[in-house]
Amino acid sequence: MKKCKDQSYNIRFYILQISITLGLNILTTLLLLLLQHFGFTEVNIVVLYILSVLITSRYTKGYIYGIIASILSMLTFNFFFTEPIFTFKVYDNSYIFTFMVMLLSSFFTSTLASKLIYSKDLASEREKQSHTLYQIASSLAKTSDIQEIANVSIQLLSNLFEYNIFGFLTNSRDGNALMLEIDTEDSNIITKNIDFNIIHSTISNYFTIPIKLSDTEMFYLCFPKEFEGMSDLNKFLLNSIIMQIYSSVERVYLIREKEAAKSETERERFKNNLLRAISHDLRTPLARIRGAAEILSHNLDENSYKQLVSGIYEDSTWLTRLVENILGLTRIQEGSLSLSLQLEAVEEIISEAIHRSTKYFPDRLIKITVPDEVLFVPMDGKLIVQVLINLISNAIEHTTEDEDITISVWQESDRVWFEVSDKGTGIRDLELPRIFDMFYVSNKSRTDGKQGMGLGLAICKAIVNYHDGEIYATNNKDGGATFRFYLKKQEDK
Amino acid sequence: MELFLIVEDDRQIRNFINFSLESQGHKCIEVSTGCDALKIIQNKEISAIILDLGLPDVDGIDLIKQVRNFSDIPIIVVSARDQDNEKVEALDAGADDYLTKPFSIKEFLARIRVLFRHYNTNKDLFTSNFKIGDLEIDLEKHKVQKKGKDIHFTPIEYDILKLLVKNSGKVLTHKFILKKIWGSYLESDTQTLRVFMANIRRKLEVNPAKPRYIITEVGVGYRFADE
Repeated sequence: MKKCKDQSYNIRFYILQISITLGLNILTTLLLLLLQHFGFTEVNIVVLYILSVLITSRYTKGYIYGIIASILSMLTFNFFFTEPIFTFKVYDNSYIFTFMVMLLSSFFTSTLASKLIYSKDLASEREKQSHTLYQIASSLAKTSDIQEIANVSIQLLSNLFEYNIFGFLTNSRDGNALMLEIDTEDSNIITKNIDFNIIHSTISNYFTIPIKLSDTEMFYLCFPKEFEGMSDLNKFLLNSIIMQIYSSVERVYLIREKEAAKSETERERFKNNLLRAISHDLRTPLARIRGAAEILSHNLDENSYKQLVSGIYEDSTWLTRLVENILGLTRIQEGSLSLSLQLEAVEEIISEAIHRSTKYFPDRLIKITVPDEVLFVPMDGKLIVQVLINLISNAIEHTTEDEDITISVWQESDRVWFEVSDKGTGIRDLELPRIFDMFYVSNKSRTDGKQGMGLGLAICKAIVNYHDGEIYATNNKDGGATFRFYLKKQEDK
Repeated sequence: MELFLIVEDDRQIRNFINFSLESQGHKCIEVSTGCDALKIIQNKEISAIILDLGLPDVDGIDLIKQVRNFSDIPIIVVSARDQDNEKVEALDAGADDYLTKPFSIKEFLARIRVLFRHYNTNKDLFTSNFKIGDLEIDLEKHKVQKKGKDIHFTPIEYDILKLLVKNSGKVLTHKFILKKIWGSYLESDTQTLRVFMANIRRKLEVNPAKPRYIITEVGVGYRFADE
């Protein structure tokens, strides 16, 4: 239908142009006949014809009408004003020269005029185009999600090409497909869900531009088929608009990604804070329980009661260690952002660890070997003390009082090794690979009814790894287990 | 018999601290807010304050600073806060010792004993002889002996040792020691201090990793153990 309209529009345009050309020529001839009657010379006639050609060029489009007007002028001049009048013959041969000059000059004027008009049109076209592009860019810049980009681009393109185009948004991951159409009444976008399969049959009937939004999301812009043969100028315009759409989509994705990362960190922080708040709040009731149990165990006379109370005391001690471990864990998780490593003297770290772990088990003797020279290692002292306390407590738990526990430290090139070794029950081969897993409690100790140190060893590993070190567990040939970890002496950074 | 002031908003903890102190023959006054604590400190002859940092009305550290304006009575901080910087802040504000909850009563009582011994010897200005374990330190003669044998110290090492011994039982923060010995405090100097401490320890201790005399409080400072 549109095509028909276009054709009839074109024909009317040609008729109009031709009638301007003919009309002007007739008008000029009539005017000249009148003037000749008053005795005007031929020179004026020629000049007036040239003027008429110039006017024709001004009000018509293209060279052709100017050329037609030039030839017509020459012919009418010949026909009406040269002897013999009302014939195309001439008696005076010099007229032939006049005709040539007249033709040439009108020819040049007309081409010059139409050239000027053409460049003026081109300039205004260009201006309109850049204005449109500017408008599109600024409307797209205000969008904040994909759907909005799709809506805005369909509206803009429909306005620009004066044709109601439509589009599809598809997501192959969840099989969703949306059709976006312009409401003919208020030019808002109507969205409706459609079947995924319809799209492919539809887009093949249109001049469709697919825009890839992500691995799973697509945006199709559908134009009528005849748009395929659009002018270069429009093609250029369309291309720039599509570039704009792409960059807006990219911007939206970047914003989305940034927000996702932000909410992820926030969630992580929330979890951490919660964990820390809980552990922190546990301390006060634990202090009460432990304090009360300690006082009772010193003041009770009857042995069976004393045993019950010391059970409470031991459990509260265990819980205290757990709370300290959890607090340590929240610190490393936070630490990936804020922890700073400081040079610490190894012997000070060892002595603090022993001092604190034997607080819970005052009767145990621990053998220590450290190098004679002072070793400074970059670390978070408190966390490494925590690792050593966990390893020592673990060793104490798996040994009887007469079985040795040895702590050694030595340097080997750029690594400083720490080792806690015991002569106790050792680790079952089955459990060795999983011993550092989070919340893993060895089966044996569970059936024994003993509380495991599962979280403790996982935390040791987390802390050591945080320091770019590595922790290992092995069984000794002559019984017992050895836990060994190293820290880098010099920071790589 | 000493009179203690327990400033703690948790009733049960107050109870057992009270109980354990009374079992040693001391007397206690219990308050749960900083305001009440200040009133009592100004009006009564208190021997020592047991202070919880998390009080409902004021921050414990501010309370320490206020008390230190007019009195040097021993303050032992008992807190659930275990961040090093909070410990250091409390100690630098003037607290004498710091225990993290939950703590053992035995250790708590031991710290109190040490504190009083130190507080009383300090009052006696003429004390210049210290005998701790195998060590004999004569501050007047600048002499340190271990098992009757002289140990040689460089002047700075000796100054540090003297400072620790004079404040034995008390935790001295890195900042405090650096200011006393070098007159200035820079975070980076802590490293230098660690080297000096390691050297002193090698001269005093049998096994530096299992020190008998100089106890390290990692991230906080040092304490000279006098028991």
